[in-house]
Amino acid sequence: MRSSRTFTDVSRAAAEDLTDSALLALIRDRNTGAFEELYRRHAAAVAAATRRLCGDRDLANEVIQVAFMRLWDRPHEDQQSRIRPWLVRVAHNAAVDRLRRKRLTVLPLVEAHDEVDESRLPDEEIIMKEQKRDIRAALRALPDVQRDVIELSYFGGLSQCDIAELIDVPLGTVKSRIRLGMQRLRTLLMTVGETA
Amino acid sequence: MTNSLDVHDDVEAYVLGALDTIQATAFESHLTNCPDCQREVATYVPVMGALRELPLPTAPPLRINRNNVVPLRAILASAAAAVLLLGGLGESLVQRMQNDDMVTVAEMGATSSQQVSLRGDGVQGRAIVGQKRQRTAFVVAGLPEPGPDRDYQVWIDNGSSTSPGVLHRAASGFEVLVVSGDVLRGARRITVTLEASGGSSHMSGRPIISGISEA
Repeated sequence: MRSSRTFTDVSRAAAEDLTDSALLALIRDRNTGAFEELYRRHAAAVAAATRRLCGDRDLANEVIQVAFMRLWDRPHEDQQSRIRPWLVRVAHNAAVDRLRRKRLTVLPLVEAHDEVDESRLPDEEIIMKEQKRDIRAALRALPDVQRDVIELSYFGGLSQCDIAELIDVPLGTVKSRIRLGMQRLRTLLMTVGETA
Repeated sequence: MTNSLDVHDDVEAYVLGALDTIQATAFESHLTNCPDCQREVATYVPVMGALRELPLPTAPPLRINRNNVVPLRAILASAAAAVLLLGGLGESLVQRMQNDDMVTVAEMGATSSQQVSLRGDGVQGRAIVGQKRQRTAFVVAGLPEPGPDRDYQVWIDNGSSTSPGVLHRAASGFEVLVVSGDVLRGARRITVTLEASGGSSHMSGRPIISGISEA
């Protein structure tokens, strides 16, 4: 008789040893253990890559669920070995869709100007008072458009080409945002480090 | 050929990991012979170290329980597949499949022509129209027992309020209703309320869970 185990789960320990691609193959067989392991590996990173766009925790949680639900429903399409960028793209698009439906105008990824407004430049003194060498404060101090591309790449694993396609801006713009954002981040951290 | 100025500009994308494989290989080839870029890359070591220390936000929990929409879909999809394999299932899984309506919902969930999410306070559910629009199912997770003389009743607002019936508790713990036909046709809102046992002629309870049809 066929064992129910073949139908339900691999063990947690076994799932931890498998690659994303292997887990994806198991999900195609409707294996919930493999699904849980992929969730454990990637959900927090997807949250990190999309949290600023979402703005509030409820929406962030919702779009994470949407992305993983899509993965469960269609595990055979174009994720292959790049599951995290795929999840981020789905979650990001879901967030944009929901924000648009709410008619909120908080889409700086697409709409904000690339020129850095001097009035919005980070105030190093405030950052230093906030926390020593605090990367979070430094990221928050970046213009939104620069922070977004850095977070999409670092947490979401998206390439600059992926990001350009996702947020529908020219590749050169994404490159510029990454370059300026990283340079600014370096300056902020160096400044804090020197004066702390 | 990519000019050298463009390659120099890739330092930040390279350290961030934002170059694709081909671009990264090209940059590394350039890096070997470019002291300027080597120095630039080195300046980003503290930045990347700080980024690595950044704690990730807490992801919403994924639990195989009735309060989470993902497991709900996962269970339904698993159940749908189980139907296809029923002859070869283990005993425990067969026990999970005892309720006929849940099997029907599972089948419909896997091939539906329309689904509407239902949401309430700590409660989630779904209205599902079957592939050929011959049946409509409502399934809700997270509802407490309605009590001995009460039932959860489904309401459809399509200009006027009508009810296809009351939910009943399936063996799996879900509240389920399966009716003939596509009762979501023309629907604007689906609502579930707590009503007298057997259902009321008019909605009298407060909405416990609802969803808006976009079809």
